[in-house]
Order: sequence, then structure tokens, then C-alpha cells
Amino acid sequence: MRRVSIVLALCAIAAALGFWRVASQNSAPAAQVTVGSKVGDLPFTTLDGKPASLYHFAGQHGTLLIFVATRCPVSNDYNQRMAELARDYTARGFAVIGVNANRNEPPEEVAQHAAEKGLGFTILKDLDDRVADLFGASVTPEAFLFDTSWTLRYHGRIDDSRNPANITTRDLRAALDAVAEGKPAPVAETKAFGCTIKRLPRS
Amino acid sequence: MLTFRTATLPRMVWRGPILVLLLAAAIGRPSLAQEKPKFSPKSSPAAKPSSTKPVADPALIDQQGYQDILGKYRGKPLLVNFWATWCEPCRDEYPMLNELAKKYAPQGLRVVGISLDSDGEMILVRRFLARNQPVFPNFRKRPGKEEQFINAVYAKWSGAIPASFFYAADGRLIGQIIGESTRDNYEAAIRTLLASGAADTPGTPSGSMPGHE
Repeated sequence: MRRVSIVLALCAIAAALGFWRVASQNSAPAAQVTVGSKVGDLPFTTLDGKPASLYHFAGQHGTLLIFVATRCPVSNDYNQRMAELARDYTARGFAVIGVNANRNEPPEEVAQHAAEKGLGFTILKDLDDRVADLFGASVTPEAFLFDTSWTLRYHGRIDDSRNPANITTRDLRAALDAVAEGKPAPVAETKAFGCTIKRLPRS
Repeated sequence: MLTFRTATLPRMVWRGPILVLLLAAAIGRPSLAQEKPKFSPKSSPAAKPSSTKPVADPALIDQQGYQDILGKYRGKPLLVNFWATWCEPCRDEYPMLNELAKKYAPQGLRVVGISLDSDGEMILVRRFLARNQPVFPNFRKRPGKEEQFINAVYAKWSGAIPASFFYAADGRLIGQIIGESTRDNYEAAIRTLLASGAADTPGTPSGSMPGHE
């Protein structure tokens, strides 16, 4: 009993020390790339296993990265919208790429899924979660829009509703339109509920 | 016996029997399975729990409703878990949370589940709750205004689920688990939460809002 009280007292002291966070092994680390900051070149792996680099995907007006998943129903609800975005904004001078950082979705599955859903944009694997960690990406779908100087101009959701019938703001399109004209995104940072990116367990 | 380590470094202990239980629970969960295309969409009858009596639909809450819930449970250590039927790790963890809710109820722990499912997913929500028979109340976030809601719960949260938040008896948010986690992590967090309640003088919560409905 005495031991229990000592343990409880120790717990209380630890709790009193402040807010704690149980970082589960798969949670997103704090982003090192935030809106307004520049990103260097980063390595990816193509779906057929070849090395690729971020800077290779430089559009005339900028580059859009969207973290996607094959098995996340939220990401899947956005398949058609992402395909339309890629079609519309590739035509307007943006490079659009999807990034799959989920450990449980192998490249073959990602390729097959993209073909079946007609995504129509390049999807790269972030095999060691390096890019996801650097960006602090934590859900799918989650968008990162860079201008031509590789400065992050928008980070967040595609729009404000999984259900296309209930959309009231299309934040990503608004940001793309602004960046195409060299202006800041009207809203540069948004959040939305989504599936956690399935990261590699950290040792 | 209780051994304490800091909450940020929860101990990793092999718990064979618990894993077996979790596995059994995982098999018994509904196959809601957009995320698991390789599995048959039909449920496995062998693992189906015997009691699948219907559970009332979770009441819809908005941002204010969330604050009302926190107010209602003031005075008790509270774990709030956000889940959705479309979230595979949420489905995996839910039976474990149900067990922990039972296990720690005598020590004062209260648990509330909040579904982030959309209206169109209510059939899955009903099936999920009927199968899991949660011992704790569940609510559903009214779809819309996601960002405001996320920021009101915890500004540093991205909205990724599963996510659990731990509120001390005085209403302070003292910790969170975001992303899939382990039973050991949860137990360590719950013990810290319960200890934080023990540290307070009973009957003198620091918050001034009574907040009862």
C-alpha cells in the first residue's frame, strides 16, 4: 500500500510537470517545413523502384504534393476530385504528384489503385517516411503546395467536405489560383479529419 | 504492481495473453472493409460475439456539445477517444479501449467515444457499436466545421485519427495519444491520468465552470 502511494505520488509529480504527449510510434513528428519556409530537394522512389527527386517535378508555376492512400476511405472519397485537380492545374502550369508514405501499401498496390481510379498523376513512394516526417504530414489526403522557389504556400485539406455535396470552400483550388498569379493563398493552412499515415515503426 | 515510467516513454512489456485477447477482438470486429480489400466482406461467424443487441445511435454534437461533455464529466478523470468506422486502427483499438474502460472504471476513469463518421456511414456505425457493446457513451460529431472543431479540441492536432485526449478531474487537458498506439501506452497514460486526479484535493476543482447540462 505504501509502495502504491509512493508510485502515485511520483505519477502526480510527473503529471504536475506539465502537459505530456504519448507519441505513439507512428505519429507525425513536428513539421520542419511550414508555410513560408523553403524546402530543399528530397528523395522519393518511383512505383517501379527507381530513385526520383522532388526538384525533378518543377512546374512553371509551382508544385503540388498530395499525400494519398490506397486503403483510406477518406483519401478514396477524393480520388475523382484529385484527378480533376491534377488535370486542371497541370494544364495551368503546375506539377502535381501524389505521395504514398503508408508502410502497408506496397508500390504495386499503389500503381494498380492509381490505374483503377484513373488518378492520372504521378505517384511516388516515400519509403522511409522521410518526406512525410519533414513536412509533418499526418493524414491522407493532405496537400502541400510549393511555388517556383520551393516555398510552401499552402498546407492542408483539399476542400472542407468528404461529401462533394456539402463542400463550401475549395481551399486548395483557391491556393493554386492565387499562387498561379504570384499571390499568397487566401487561407494558407487548414485542417481536416483523415486517416493517419501509416508510418514505419521507429526504433 | 504498478511500476511507473514517464508517459513519454511507456514501458514495452510482452503481454502474450492480452495480445491473444486483442487478436480475438480484432477478428470479431466488423468487416467494414474498404481498407481491407483482401478480406471477405462477409463477417466471420465463428468470431461473432453472441450479444449484438442494438445500441442507441450516438447523439450528434458540435463544438459546444463537446464542451458540454467535458463540463458534464468535470470531477472525474476523462479519456475521450475519436474514432470512425473508416479508420482501421480506430477499429483495432476500440475493443481494447472498451476493456480498459471496464478495468479502470472502479478507479474513477470515465471514457467517452466520439465518432467522426458521416451521415452515410450510420449503418456501419450501428453495426460497429452493436458488435463492440461499448460500456461507455458514444457521440458523433456533426459533419461540417471540421477545422474549428479540431482546433477547439487541441490546436496542435492535425485531425488524424485515432486520437485520444486525457482530461484531469479539474478539466485540464493533460495529455493525448494521437495515431495508433499500444495497450501499454494507453495503460501508462491512464495511470498518469488517474494519478493526476489523486493529486488534486477532492471537491476543489480549479475550473470555475460547473458546466452541467
